[in-house]
Amino acid sequence: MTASTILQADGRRVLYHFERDDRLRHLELQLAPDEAVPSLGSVYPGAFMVENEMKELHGLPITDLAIDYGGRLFRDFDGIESPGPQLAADDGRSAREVAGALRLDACVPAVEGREVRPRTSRVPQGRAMLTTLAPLTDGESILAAPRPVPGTTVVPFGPQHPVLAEPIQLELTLRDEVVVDVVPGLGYVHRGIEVASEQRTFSEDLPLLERICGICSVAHAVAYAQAVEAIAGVEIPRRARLLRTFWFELTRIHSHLLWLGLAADAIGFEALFQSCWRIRERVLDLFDLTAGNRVILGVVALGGVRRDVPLSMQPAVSEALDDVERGLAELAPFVVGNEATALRLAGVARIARDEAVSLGLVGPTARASGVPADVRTSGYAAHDELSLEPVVEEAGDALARTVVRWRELFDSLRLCREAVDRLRGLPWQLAVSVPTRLRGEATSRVEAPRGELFYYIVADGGTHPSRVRVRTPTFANLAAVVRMLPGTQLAAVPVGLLSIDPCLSCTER
Amino acid sequence: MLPQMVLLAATAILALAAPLGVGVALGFDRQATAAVQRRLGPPLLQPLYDLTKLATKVGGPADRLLAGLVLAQLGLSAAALVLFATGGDLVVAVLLLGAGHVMFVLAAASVESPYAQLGASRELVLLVAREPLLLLVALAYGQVAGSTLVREIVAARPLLLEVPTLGITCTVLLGIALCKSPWDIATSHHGHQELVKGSTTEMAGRWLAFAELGRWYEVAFVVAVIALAAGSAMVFGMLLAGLAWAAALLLDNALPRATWRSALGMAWGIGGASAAVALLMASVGGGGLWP
Amino acid sequence: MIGPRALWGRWVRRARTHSPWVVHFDCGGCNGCDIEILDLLTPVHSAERFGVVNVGDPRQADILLVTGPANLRNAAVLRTTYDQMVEPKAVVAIGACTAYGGIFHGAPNVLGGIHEIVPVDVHVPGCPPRPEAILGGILRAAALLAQPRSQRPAEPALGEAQPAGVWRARPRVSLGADDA
Repeated sequence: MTASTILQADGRRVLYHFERDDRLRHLELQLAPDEAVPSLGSVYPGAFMVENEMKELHGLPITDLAIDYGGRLFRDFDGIESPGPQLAADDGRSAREVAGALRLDACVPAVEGREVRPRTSRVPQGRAMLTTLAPLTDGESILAAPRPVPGTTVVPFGPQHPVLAEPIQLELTLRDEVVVDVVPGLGYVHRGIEVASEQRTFSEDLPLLERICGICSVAHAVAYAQAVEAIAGVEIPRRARLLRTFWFELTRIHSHLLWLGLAADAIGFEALFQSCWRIRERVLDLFDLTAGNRVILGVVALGGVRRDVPLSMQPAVSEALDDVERGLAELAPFVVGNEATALRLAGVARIARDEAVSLGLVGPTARASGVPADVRTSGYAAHDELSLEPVVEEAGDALARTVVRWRELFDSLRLCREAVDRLRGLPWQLAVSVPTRLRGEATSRVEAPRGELFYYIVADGGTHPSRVRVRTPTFANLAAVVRMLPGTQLAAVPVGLLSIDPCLSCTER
Repeated sequence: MLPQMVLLAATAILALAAPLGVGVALGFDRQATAAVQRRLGPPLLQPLYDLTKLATKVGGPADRLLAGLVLAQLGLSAAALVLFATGGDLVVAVLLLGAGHVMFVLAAASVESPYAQLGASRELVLLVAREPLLLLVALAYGQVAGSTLVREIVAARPLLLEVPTLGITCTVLLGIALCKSPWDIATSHHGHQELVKGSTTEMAGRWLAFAELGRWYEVAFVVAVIALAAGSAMVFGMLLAGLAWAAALLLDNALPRATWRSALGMAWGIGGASAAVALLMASVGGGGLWP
Repeated sequence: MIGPRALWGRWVRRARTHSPWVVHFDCGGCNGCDIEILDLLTPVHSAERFGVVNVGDPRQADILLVTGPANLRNAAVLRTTYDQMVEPKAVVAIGACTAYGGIFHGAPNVLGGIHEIVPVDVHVPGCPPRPEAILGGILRAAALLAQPRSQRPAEPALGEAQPAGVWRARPRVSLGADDA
């Protein structure tokens, strides 16, 4: 479930997108400039993340928010003045120009000649907020309500922390090394990509959207290309579909191996971290061979793909895939069935199945809680001919998520091999042309390594899209973090956070 | 009288120079860890490079309480090693080492960062894990040799044959001293742990160098205690220490870090049980410390 | 015959350049550069053979690796991180985003390159640069660590010859002629 806000000359157009069992339903509201919208929190608790985002970034007034971050989820809370809601600045000024009035020094404010270090704690010292999903009274913000809880310490986890590859801040309220409350602070990776994409043409947007996230860049590229192709009404050649699936599943393999290594490092198992990433190097070698680059591939084009995997390359491809499989077989005793690893992972950050559904979790996080949702079953790219069963576990804890991703590795290996096999004998057509001016709107969903990635694109006849809405899987899964961390030990916080495979660059775009 | 004093002084100076040897041994350790993980490790002298670099940092925070406590830890650990090397009382040396560790815990606790506080409480857990084990080992040695003075233990019959299960305890002790999994709960030599640097959070520049030096003296002490098991055959003793180190290394690469409860439980359970067995075996032989 | 003082100076210089402890700060890019940095610690590239250790604490680190474009939120945090480091220290800016904002140049919330926030010693170009290139950048910065910033020789202007780095590769690894 997600929502989009489109600014118009005479107000706003708000769309809510709902999904269940691979069926999508969209509800549209036309609003006057200052009209407010009630929160969906009482019906669908997981809506609080997207509603906070819309309220803050798009300036949409929302009432009755259950968890209201008071407009400080994305933007600064360090006492630094930030320019107003991003999408309201429609005169094309960049952040640099807007900030130009506040000079760069303002980022490190000076008081009487002394530099003032901004406070990075959002929770006033000595207070703790208990995160609750009960609706607050209108106008009350959880950050303003003083509920001092004695005997607790507030630990700012992040934004810069070695166990996290990316900056996110979690204000943890601890009592005796047990987490009592979590308040997330985002905005460190926010680049305003959705706005930037409206300033570029459709084909210039592709490299920009590829770089929302370096790990799942193929997923973003495929989702965007699919949406544009849907608007244009073109169908891409079968060879291109198979090749897209090939690189997509390789992305899944490398992403899961990366995640496995990071999770191992977070529990202190350095040897497993090194082994996972050593195996992952073979996948990156494969990217290098077929696409020319290791990380951001640039293989997807509007209308198809830009590169091919010819017959002469296929023995090297199968050899590399065999190497990966052999490496995984060596790793298996350390990952599954290993007592020491299970001790650190079992029972950590558990989410029950009904909570997973009501919070709107996606991807392996949801599948580990018993929700059998996998967008690949809807048949995009080559998945209409390559069949797949969603990998589901019941336990819902960090160990279950590890097992789900582990099993998906083998599924993806099989899909890669099948995709390459089916390339034989197909005509060599890699792409069809897509017109530069487009009119229409379309949605596109793919199963990124972390879950369901949702794109909604509106085109009004020009060369630029008029709205690109991206809902990334980690954004949906962050609701899980707020729910699952209270009650865990501090030592389990990195494990709990990592178990949803957070990708902050995806979340914050 | 004078030659004896000179000998004592020379031994003391040698003991103070022990970190050089420990540095090289740690260099070996990093290369071996890298080899187990199938990659290339740093040069042999790397720990000495690291220590020099830290010691010669320019500027850096200078909190007097922290500085004093770190220096106290250094002094006490060095004193423990010197006492050992000059043949003094093993139990007193163990207690000196414990006092040094307490200084380190206080140094970590004097920092306001929440990670340092958590690291300090975890260091305390490690201290509680280690001291009883060291004392049990010292007592076991004393039982066999009839005295806890190092010079008498060296002269007594080889301890290895009498109390072999101490090897397990010594591996545990070495694992704790070297901050190896599962006991690297308080601070870690590589990133990616939830405590950031834990107990060494605010230590920078030369204070970190002194804290590291203090740890190196502790490592030298534990190695010396292991080597003592071979009596006067020093080469054989070093070999024993090497074996224990290798065991700790393999354990490090096979196990993830533990929670503090399980770390304590494992240390006392495995190490403590073997030490208790050793003590029993030594007492069964009759004689010993108690008349 | 070199005197003890010169010998000690040589030892200190060698120690400082052969022990580059790294702290990695992500300003908010796409993660491509970040995972290539993490790749350096892993078996195939193994930066540890040069003494590179990823310490998470800026107070204990020598080299600051920065990725991602500077944005309004991160500017202060980046500066604070840099200020917490102890001299001698160096900054390596990795990727196109740190140079001028990369592909995000002009996007809202993006300020551009990081050179106005922290003094950059080495730029590694690429989107993302290969791990070997990042390692080369780190080693160039390691060569600069021999002295605190105030005592370093002035950088040559564009067009002049670059001085050879003082860092000498270990015999069993060769980096190429200009890194000797």
